[in-house]
Amino acid sequence: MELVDNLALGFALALKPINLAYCFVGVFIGTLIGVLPGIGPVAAMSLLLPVTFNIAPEAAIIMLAGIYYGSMYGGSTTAILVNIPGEAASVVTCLDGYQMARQGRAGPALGISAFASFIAGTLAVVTLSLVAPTLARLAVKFGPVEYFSLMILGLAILVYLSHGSLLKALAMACLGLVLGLVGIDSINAMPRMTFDRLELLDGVGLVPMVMGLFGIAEILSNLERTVKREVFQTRLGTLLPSRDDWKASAAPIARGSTLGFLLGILPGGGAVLSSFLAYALEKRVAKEPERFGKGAIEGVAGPEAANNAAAGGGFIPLLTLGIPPNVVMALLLGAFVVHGLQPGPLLLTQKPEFFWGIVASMYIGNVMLLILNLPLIGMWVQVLRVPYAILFPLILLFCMVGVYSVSNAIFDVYLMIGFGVIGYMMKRFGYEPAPLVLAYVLGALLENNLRKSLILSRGDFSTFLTRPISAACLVLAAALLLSPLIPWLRQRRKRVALEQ
Amino acid sequence: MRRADLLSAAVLAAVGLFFVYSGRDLGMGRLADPGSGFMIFWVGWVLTGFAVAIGATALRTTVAGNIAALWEGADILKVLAAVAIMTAYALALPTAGFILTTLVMLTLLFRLIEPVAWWKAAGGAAIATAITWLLFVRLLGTQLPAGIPGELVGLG
Repeated sequence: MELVDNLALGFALALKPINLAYCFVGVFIGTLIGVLPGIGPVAAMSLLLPVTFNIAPEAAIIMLAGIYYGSMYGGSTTAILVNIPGEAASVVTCLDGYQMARQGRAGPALGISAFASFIAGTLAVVTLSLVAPTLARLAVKFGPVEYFSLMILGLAILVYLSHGSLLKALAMACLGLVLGLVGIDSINAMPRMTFDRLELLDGVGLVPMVMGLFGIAEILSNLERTVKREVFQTRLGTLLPSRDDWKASAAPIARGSTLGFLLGILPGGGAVLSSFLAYALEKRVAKEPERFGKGAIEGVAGPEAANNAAAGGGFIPLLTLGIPPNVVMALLLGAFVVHGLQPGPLLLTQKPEFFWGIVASMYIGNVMLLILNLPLIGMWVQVLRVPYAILFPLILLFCMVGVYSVSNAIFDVYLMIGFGVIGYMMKRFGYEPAPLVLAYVLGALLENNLRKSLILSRGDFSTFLTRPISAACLVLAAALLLSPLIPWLRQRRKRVALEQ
Repeated sequence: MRRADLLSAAVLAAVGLFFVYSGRDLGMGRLADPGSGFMIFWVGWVLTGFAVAIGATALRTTVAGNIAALWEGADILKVLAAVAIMTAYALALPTAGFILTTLVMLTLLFRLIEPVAWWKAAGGAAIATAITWLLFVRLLGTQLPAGIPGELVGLG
């Protein structure tokens, strides 16, 4: 009954015309950037973050959240019709989606992708509504010791799941931790590593860093090679899947939703990993695995359900613990802070209408996406025909103007270009930006909780091992990081990396 | 990847040692009251350790290949040109103003991938500049630098 009351409170906020409008704008932009290769939800959200400064906090978060889960929907369109994933989570959709399109079944492929996304997205929001209050109540009991250990576990999972060298991912996490400490020390107000630059007193900006590492670096990588996009010339026909299609897809959607949601909660799990693992799972349980890669509808339904469920699951650690599990959630955390809000257990008790408003907007957003995606597929196909030579200068311009408008400082534009070049070099040398960005976001929080824990325990490190939650987190983190030393686990991790 | 990994390990080790130095310089404090440099110092050492491990792994690898091989088949000139254009844009923006610099930058970028006619590139750049200006300045109220040309025509 409490849940119904809470949701009613949320819907009252989310159904306000202004919030509905921002929800629509969010899912529309999300679908658009999901359709367009070369710009992902991270770059789009950081680009639009300054735009939200002048609007109400709830509208801002509703819009930014809509961009994220909207992009998960949009990514499959390009994957199916052009064989180019609109964003990373749709890479596996290319395998069978494009083959279905080649066999004249583009319509059912797009249809099942939209329905699977809708079902999984909705299931994720329902589970979020059920789980979040309990978790938030538990999180109130967390002190600095537990928070520190939980963040260490988060970083360990992220590093473990990164698909390259574990050592390189750990090095990037270290780099990110220190970058997060640049600026005024929150405990004694001492400037750290600012090199006498006033612009660095507030720290290295999240927006220039993310835009550089993800947006600019991606464009520079695309510039190296001619990007050819041939939109599949076929009649889409009916978008509604047949009875047989539904029969084949029902179980993959259920499995994908569950797997995606669980992985979405894990730090570093996110939409990309869940879609790959859902594909691997479907292939493993299939009676005829040789059909995969040749147009099996299960290969579209499972991953598409998984990436959308993961997008929903990612909100749980952010909204209940205040800890972002992936880079997109880190950006959303930044948006919360900009608007003077702190996500975490207290958000639910102090601002219930805000918390439930966001959850309710996700129900509405999922319905909007279903309505938006099916009739507008023709329009998205036209958008795909815009040549990259025209798109990339415009994306670069929006990145630069967007970054400048956050702080009206040209320093941030230089910072973004610098991070763009670093991100490009990192790609070349086999380093991933995700551990760096997440560690950067957690850096200040982690240090703050570590120092508070040590002050409270009078310098006694055993405090981290004598408190049960903290000890469990640290033991799990150590087990994950040391697991590559065990030969069969190392093979397993390599296999996951190869599947990615 | 061997040489590439050795090079990146060397860079990371240097960064790690710089963090160690900075952390020490900022003050370590005591265990019961850690100072501003406490975490930077220790993370610096850990980073240096990982860099050494990356280097050691690279030395053991049998995959040869020099650093230039990383860019094999890639049109690096386009990447360098894009970075140069963006840097020049950032340098010129405060004095030359948004409209002029954006016009020039977009014209150059439009010609970077597929050399289209100058007039087409300039025309497209003019339209895109006007739309961006209207969107950011008029609609969203963002303050973009007008620069000297902007002040002369009363946009500043």
